Amino acid sequence: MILPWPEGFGPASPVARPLLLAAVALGLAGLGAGFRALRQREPSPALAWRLFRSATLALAAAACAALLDGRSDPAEGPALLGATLLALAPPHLLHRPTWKDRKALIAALALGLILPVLIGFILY
Amino acid sequence: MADSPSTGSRRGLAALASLPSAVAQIMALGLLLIVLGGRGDLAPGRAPWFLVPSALLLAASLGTAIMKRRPYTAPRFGFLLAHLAPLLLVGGLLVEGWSGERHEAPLASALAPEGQNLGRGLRLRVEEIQLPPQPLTVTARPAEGPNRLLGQHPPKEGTSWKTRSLGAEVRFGRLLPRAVDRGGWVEDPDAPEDPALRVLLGIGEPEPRVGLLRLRDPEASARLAPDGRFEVRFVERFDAAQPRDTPRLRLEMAEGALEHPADPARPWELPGFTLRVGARHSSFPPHLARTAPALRELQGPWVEAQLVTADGQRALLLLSARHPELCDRLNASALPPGARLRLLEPVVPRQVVFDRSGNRILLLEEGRLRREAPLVLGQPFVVAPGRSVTPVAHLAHTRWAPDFTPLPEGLEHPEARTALQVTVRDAASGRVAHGWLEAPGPGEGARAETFFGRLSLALHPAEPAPKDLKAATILVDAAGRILARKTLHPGRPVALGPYTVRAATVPGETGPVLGLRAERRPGLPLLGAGSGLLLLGLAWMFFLKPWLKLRHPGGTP
Repeated sequence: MILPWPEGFGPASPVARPLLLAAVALGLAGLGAGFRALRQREPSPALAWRLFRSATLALAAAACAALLDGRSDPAEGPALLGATLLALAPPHLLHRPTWKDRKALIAALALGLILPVLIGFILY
Repeated sequence: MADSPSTGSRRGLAALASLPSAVAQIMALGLLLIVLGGRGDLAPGRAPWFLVPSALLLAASLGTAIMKRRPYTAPRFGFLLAHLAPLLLVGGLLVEGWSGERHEAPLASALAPEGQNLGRGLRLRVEEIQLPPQPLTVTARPAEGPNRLLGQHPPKEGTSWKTRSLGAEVRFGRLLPRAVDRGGWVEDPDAPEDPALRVLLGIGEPEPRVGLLRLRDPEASARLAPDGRFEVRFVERFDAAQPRDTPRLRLEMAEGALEHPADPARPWELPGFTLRVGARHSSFPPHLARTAPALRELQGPWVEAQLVTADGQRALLLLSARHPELCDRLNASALPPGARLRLLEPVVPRQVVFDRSGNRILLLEEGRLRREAPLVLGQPFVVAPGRSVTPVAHLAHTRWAPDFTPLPEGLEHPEARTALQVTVRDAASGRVAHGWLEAPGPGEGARAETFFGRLSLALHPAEPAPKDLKAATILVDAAGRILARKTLHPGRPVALGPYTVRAATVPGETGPVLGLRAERRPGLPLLGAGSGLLLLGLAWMFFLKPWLKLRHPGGTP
């Protein structure tokens, strides 16, 4: 099924489009879960991290689709790849269940807020 | 105690190889990719200065990761894959930058005989284009300045929309699918200078006919020879040049104009095609219209001509000295782009010439001056018993005011076309302007109408989508030899020699247009491998690793 999409907006690759939408949706869901975990002082915000990781994976897949698809503008693939690298940074800080988790979560929340705006602004 | 140099070096190296350093490197690389990639600076061939250090940085990061994370147990394998992937991706971009190619051009460029230049003596040509009919759309652009698209809207009756940047509201009125323009010339102080003379023609009818003679279009004077007995012309200065005595064809092109006798016995050989004059009709050829439209403007002699191309293709042309603009429209699709073919007929025996500079009226018979009178508004000039012309007004700024009426069912008219009534309201002054937008006929370009001197509207078929294009693509070398020829099917790219060719939306002079993109991507295998490793590595790290760690609780974290 071809996703209805406004002409000239977003990635040209029809594979990258739903993946990017999924990444943004998962990122926003992770953002909500993360804020909830912070407010309720949950010791381990597992749901938030699962959502962020899924969002990162979807974003990486969108970047790969844009890099490989000949319909893409030359700018799309590198920009989405850059966004993926940014999204990968917080998980690097999360390999130990220590107090760093909370700092990393705040960093991830900030990125979760920034990333969709950044992608939207820079790409279009 | 101060640190020894070796201890300092070790600490420096440890800091460089630390996790915060790795995260900072990745984030910096990601930000640069977004900023440069978003600006298009990472398009193939543009940024080796960025990609080479990035690849080195990623290689160093990978090496450090490999060293620090040894031994590589199953849970850690995803980490290795995910860190190897960006190196391959950046390497793929680098290879594309060095030896990849991407060429884009509007379809019109590829359609030209010389085709689209791909460099290295190779050219891409397109033939046998097939596109489904496109729905009509209305586009709005500024009348002056950069040619940017302000809006695009389907022509639905009763809808309206605003162009905020130009402060105008546009409302669509009637949409007539088959309409004929019955409008006329009017004086409009806002229109550009276009001098004209309004005359009354007394030709024995109860009511005199009103005519308008435009200085810029003296050929149109033939339309004001209603009974074929005299012509009326309005000229800046009377030129007593010899009248034409035989019908001639005149081919007007960008490079100049050529003339040739319009004689059926004398074909006109031209580069690439031949013109042959055929049958002559006393009015618009009835066999070419299902029902001859009883429209006055189609009266007068019509001549058929045939255009035969060098490869034997034939096209029918219709010519009338009285209707040159109509002929241009009818014949546009058969003639080379930009060319116009006109029929120059011998003058009728009598001519009435209004000489603006000399402020006089001249009567010519057989090209000779018979009589002369001062040009006085309101004073009739008698041509012959029962025939007179009376100048009634000088107009400085004339403008064609279209007025479309639906063509009755069963009637056909060569100028019938879709027309849309529009009303434009200027938000600042509250002024309202009415007008018509007409869709172009076959072979014609879109016609724009300007409102308040700043808003330009045009009704035309929408730009076809790349997925609709079917065409034959041909790769030729510098000597014109065909190296490859393949059919481009809708929505699918085609491999043509070393290139992958696909239909794409490309930048045109007036905005995005349908075009072709030919590319060669030697970095694609690296990009594919990098993509696969990245996704596999991330999935491994994020989802498989926790499960593997549960299975091997005693293993390394």
